[in-house]
Amino acid sequence: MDILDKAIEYALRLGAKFVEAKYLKQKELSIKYTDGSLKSISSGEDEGISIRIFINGAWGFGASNEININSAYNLVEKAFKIAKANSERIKEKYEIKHVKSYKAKSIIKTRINFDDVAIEEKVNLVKELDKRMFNFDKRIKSTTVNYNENKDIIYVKNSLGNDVYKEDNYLYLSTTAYSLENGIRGFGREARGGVGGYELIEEKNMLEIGEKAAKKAVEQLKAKSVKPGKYVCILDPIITGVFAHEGIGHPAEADAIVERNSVLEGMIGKTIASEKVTIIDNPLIDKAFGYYEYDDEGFLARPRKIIENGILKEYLNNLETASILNMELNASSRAEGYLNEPLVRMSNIYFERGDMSFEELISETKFGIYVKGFHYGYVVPSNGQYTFKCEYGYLIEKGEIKQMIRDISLTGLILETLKKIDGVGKDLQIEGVGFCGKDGQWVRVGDGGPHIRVSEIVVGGLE
Amino acid sequence: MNEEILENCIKAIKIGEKLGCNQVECFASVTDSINITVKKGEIKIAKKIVDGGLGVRCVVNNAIGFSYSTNPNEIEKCVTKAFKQAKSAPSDPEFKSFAEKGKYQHVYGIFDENIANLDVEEAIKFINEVLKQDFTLDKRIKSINLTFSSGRNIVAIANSLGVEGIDKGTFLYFYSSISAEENGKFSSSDEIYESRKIKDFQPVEIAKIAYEYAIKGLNKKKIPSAKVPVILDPFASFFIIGMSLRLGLNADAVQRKRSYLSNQIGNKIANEKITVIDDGLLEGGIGSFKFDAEGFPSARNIIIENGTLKNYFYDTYTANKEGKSSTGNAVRGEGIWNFRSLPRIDSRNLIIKEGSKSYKDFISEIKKGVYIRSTYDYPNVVTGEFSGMINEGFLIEDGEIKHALLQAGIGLNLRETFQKIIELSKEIKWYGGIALPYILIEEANIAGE
Repeated sequence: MDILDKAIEYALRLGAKFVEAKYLKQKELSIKYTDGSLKSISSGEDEGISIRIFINGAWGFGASNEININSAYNLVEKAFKIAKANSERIKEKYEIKHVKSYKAKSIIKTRINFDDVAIEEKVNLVKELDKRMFNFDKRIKSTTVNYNENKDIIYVKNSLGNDVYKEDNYLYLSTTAYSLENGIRGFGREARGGVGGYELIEEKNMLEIGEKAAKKAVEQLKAKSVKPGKYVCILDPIITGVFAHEGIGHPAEADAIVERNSVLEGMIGKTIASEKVTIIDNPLIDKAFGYYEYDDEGFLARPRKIIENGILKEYLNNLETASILNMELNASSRAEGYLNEPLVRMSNIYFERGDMSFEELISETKFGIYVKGFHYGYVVPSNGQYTFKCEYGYLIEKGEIKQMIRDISLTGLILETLKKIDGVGKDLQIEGVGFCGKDGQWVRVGDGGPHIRVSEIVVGGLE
Repeated sequence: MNEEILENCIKAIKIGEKLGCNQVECFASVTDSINITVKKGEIKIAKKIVDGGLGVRCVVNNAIGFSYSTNPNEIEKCVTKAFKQAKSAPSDPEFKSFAEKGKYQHVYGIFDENIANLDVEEAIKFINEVLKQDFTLDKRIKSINLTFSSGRNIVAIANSLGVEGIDKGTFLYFYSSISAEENGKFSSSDEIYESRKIKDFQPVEIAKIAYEYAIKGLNKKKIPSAKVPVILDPFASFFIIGMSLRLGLNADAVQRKRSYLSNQIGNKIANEKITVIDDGLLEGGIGSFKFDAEGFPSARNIIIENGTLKNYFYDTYTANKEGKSSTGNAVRGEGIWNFRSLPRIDSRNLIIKEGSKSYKDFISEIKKGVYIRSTYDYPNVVTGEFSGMINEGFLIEDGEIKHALLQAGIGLNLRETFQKIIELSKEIKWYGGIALPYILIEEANIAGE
């Protein structure tokens, strides 16, 4: 990638203080199967270059799908002009931190290459999942299966000396089942994913997500709406993972700290959660969906202990935020594609395991609810107010699981809820997979945790 | 205009036909854009991006393959991939045909030379105009975050049934988000503006709305749970009413019985004051082009007339299933049309018709009620229910807006709510391609203390 070197050289000659040049090639294949027939087989190739230039606190960025030296120079000139003009206006100037640079080749290995598996076999896979949903129960009326495989090649170079070539391979599979009985509707969704090749289908037992989605959709039909109020809540590993992601992960992204838009601002070293709580974001978990060895700025990744025994330890930093806040860079930069500048992002975030069994968590609960499956949710970053919509759950009475319930939404303030966690299970699972959106960019992430118990959460329903 | 993108489409069709496709379609787009991000009151990054490419759909024995590429020199490779995928796919018995050739009408007001020629420096002037306002010095402001995005989008479509079209549009998007803090209390608010032209763009006024709501939100108090009249600000209406219609009227969701509005044509699904139109030809409309994303001519369709459901949103696939004509509701991607996406169904410019009274009169006539400015919850269009947190809401007492609400929620059954919409204001605001009046709901459950 000679043109990346030439572009960096040219930008420095013009007067850039920091330059990053990138080449990306992304290949994807997706198959959608709905209601017993194939809806589409889609493939795509994205290829382009981007240039990011820094001058005294201001950034300029340019990107194009034209890959040649003239196009690269043109992008340098545009990005430089923008950064230069803005640097003269900016009040809070700063320098890019001098940090260790890396030269590396990082390839996510595959045992079975995607290209070595015939499309017909992949079609049979989604067909089988569709069949499993319909066969599960007569009340399943509609289904969707999505298969997605990706191969990304990323070449990132910068003026600090980073020179990293990455090959990412990953796979994502999801099922949705819709049920109907006597005018009552329900739906269930399941997803599995990981980094690696086609072997993940078997390794992660992905075929079971057919029945799993169908089971959820059907079970909900007999569930009752929950009566709103305050409850002791036991959260399953999926919701625990979402809680870690939305509630702690996003506020711990250091760009939110810089922008003064986080409840965790100024809290490093302080106790913000029950001592039972340890939350880690770890890009290096083998095969997890948010895995990376080097981030998209080309820095070597390591696990980040965000909360340890209730104490806030560190934020997620990239080159920019580490420079502004004068904190340790911990390789948290990720970009969706060549059209996007890298942002501070999570990888695989989870609650660390505790010492209680699931049975203990339930049997110690006199009256409460066991909440399962995540629908969607959000957190207002400035005050930490959260809303999580959950798929379904069960009432717990006198230590036993009873009536199934639906339409459960959990609300509260993150920093209050974290202090009310009084039980952490030992059954850690990091199986939550998804694509996290921020400023219009989507990146693959993982999350999880064990079952956890919260002594009080406000639960809303439809009433 | 980049005429070559239509030529590339035609080239792709010829390659596909030669390979033996029963039908071929190619959609191409080029988007030139400027994007400026202001964080904490300063320009953090400015970007200049060119994004172009094409996407090809091939049909072989009723099976469809789709492939896209950003590389203009690899059209043949791209078509071949789509062809091979189609060949290895089982046929879809419900697929009949791509869009037939139709007559296009020119759409006015969707291309503004002033936006097409805008450079980063000029765009920054709009932002600086906001940043030099006195209100930005208010000590209670914690953070001012702005996003300015503008550019031009050229789209072309061709298929083997003779469809050929090219059109161009410009866009301007401005997002203002302001957070405030006082005595340990936090509040934040947003305002969004989008348009095809630069005239009438008033960034200061937009930022001021976010500022004023952020300040008002500092004084939040809990209220008891109650069943009261509710006024939805157009911003809240977008999430509650707008999204319920947009997702629930999608013919694909309707046909697969995944919508609470399935099997409702001809039924009175809403109060007779409600009329909803979707117009792909709207002058200056953010969702307007002369054709839809499959090349079907754009049209103006009546969806709900005086409360009666008249039509759903169709593309050619869903229309063919029912032996009907498409309504021109195929789009590609989210927002600005993009070659990477297969066509999907969405509204174009969805218009909830205005009423005759001012929303100010709604407020003054309410003894006790709630005004909702925003929620970030989405309706569940499978079950037809909406429940969510009121992100920004206010108590109405004796005809006046009082303090903001702390931790209040709202739960609605959408079908019931549509009947309970008793007034729509004469004032209209656009959010996310939907024209929204202020809406008065006779009564709704507010969950408080």
